[in-house]
Amino acid sequence: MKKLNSILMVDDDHINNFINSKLIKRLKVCENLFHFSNGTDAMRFLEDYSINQKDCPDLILLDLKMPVMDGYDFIEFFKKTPFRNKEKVQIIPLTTSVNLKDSQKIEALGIKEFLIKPLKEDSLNKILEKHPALIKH
Amino acid sequence: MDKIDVLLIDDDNISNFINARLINRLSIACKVQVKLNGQEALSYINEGDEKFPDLIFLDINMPVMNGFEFLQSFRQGRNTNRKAVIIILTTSSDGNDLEELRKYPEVCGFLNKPLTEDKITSVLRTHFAA
Repeated sequence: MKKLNSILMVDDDHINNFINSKLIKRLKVCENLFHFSNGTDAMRFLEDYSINQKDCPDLILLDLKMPVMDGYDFIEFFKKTPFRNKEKVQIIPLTTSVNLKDSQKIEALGIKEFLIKPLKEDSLNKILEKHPALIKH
Repeated sequence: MDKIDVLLIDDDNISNFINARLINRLSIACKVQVKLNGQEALSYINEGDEKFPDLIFLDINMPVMNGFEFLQSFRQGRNTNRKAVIIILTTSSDGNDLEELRKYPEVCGFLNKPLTEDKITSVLRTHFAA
């Protein structure tokens, strides 16, 4: 199967990051995996990445509830910043529970899909099957 | 408490975004203005009395005109009887600069980045108590 070039994971929960990294590595779905424990650090990484003429990661798995810069702020800042190749990026929010207000907020930011934690092989595969970078032309 | 006019001076877009967002969420400000360096901030302030902020959050390391240079120019600026509360935004690497900044009478306080609700509330309580 074709692999993604890179995945970026953003979650303030280190255990989640650890487990999700293991899953992603086991499934061998990407060449590079980056993880950060808050939105600010992840955003600084993207800025540096872009300055160094590198394309944004293909997939961003994003926790919504984080201190300082939460997932909603992350998406909003991402949308208004000219990152390299950002139109190809798919952002998938990861949440523990989704109430109507949360899903409306996600939708208002132009995000159509999200995953409920914990991240599972099935749900990750479903996302990947539809990822533009992996669909055969 | 009356809503205040806040000016953020920082070259870091991410910090500005988060800080402006936080201040807006707290509904304490009638206006939040963002400037990316001391010079931009000075020209903005000097446009007129109505632009003079009540509260300034000032970063130290910035291109073009840094926090120190801003403070010096701010002091020598045009005459106005208005006063602004200036709070320096610091990071852990600012050690020596802080000692130096304590000598500036314009500086009302220091806050370590990132700003939080508690930090802003304490500034309001100390400097803008109704």
